[in-house]
Amino acid sequence: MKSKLLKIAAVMLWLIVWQILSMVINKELLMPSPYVTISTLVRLMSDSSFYYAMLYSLLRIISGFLVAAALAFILGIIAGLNRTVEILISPFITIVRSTPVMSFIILAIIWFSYNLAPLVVNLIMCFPPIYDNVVKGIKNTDRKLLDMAKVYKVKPFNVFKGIYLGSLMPFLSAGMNTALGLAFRVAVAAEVLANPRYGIGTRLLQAKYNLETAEVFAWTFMILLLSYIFEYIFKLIIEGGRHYAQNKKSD
Amino acid sequence: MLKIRNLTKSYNGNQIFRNFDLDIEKNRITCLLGKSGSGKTTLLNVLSSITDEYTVDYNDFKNLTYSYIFQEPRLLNWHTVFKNMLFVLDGKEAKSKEAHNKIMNYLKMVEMDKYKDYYPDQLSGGMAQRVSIARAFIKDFDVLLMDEPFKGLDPTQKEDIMDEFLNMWKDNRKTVLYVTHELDEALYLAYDIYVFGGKPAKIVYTCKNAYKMTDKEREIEREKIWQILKLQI
Repeated sequence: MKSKLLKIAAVMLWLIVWQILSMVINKELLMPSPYVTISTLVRLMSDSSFYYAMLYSLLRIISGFLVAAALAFILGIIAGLNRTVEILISPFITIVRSTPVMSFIILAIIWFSYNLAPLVVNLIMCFPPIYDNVVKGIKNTDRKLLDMAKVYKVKPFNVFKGIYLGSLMPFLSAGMNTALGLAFRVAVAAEVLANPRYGIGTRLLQAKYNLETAEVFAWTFMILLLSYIFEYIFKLIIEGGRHYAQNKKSD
Repeated sequence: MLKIRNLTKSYNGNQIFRNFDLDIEKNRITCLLGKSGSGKTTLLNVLSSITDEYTVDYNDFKNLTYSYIFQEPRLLNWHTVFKNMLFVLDGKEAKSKEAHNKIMNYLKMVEMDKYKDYYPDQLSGGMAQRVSIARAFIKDFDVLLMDEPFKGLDPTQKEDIMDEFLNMWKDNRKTVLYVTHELDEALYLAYDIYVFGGKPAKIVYTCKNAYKMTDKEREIEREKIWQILKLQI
């Protein structure tokens, strides 16, 4: 309870800092106040194009994230079990890690449609953190449990399901959590450059051209809000299993 | 009689066994007694095929089925007690209706039936070890291997758990090979006792039919084995 109050107080503190800054600078073009930002957001919300932009951006973010997660899960398991596969994949991971995101975005725009490019870049950027964690999870599997299963002649599929998957779970969710935060930032950045017809990034760029700084603030606020909501939903899904187990025990 | 002849096994460059022979009576509890680091666990891992890096001339143990009670419970922390039991059952058997009753029966024998929906990390060390004993017995096996299964339990609990183990064992009287460094435990549970020692390891003393001995004979044996164990430091 106390920590919750403190968290709310922290948010309030920064809102006040923002308000004071905007009053000191006193130029809406440079630093719109929280009030102006919110009223701009409300104005944007009255137009259907607002929702199209949100929908398309979310589609790129979530589908890129999910495809990356599925690929990283499968390849991570194979690489975790097979050193050769891990070595074969490792240059790709190194390249993705050290190449500027902008290079990928520009290449993706050259290779794919404006609509698809942000999704593809998002997918590529989300892959490494999930993959790395899955590999780590597989390698971290307790040798002693595997020996136990061997003595009891447990079938390979059940060993995978019962032992590998169980020890993998915390790693997988940590990796997916990192990737989810990344997805929002990368996809919107890619949209700014690719400029698809609908997308939050496209709207950000338009706002910049029109010197509508309040709109830039409003869209940024929406990205933060969406990212927060999705991370929260993700957390609920992860903890869902554990809660269920604990409720079951008490009866 | 189960025999192994001329077992040779190295680990990290150290020869643990060289031309080692072992004879185990079937349907008895045989105890291998020895200091830690004397190769007892390695022997169990060889017999149960957890490791296959060894050479041997003759081996009765190769194609048998095993249950194994480890030093640690080795339960899956993300599964309930019930699901941990289910895990070692065969796919076909696990799906059958009897599986549920069978699991509950075995859990009852170790007084863990009330905890079937608990997760291992919610149990004490003794409770978790009870589950691992029940898990060993639910599986059909030729030989039961035990690696210091009562280590680290508090003394009152230890006696209860040893008695539960004996009760379960008396139901099927299968071959048990039991490894420990505690002389009193060995004298309490074992039919035959082999004292282990040296590098590479060999059997330095044999005490057959310990269960038939009178209290006086047992005291004499205890003193003898105690002296041998002391010399090995």
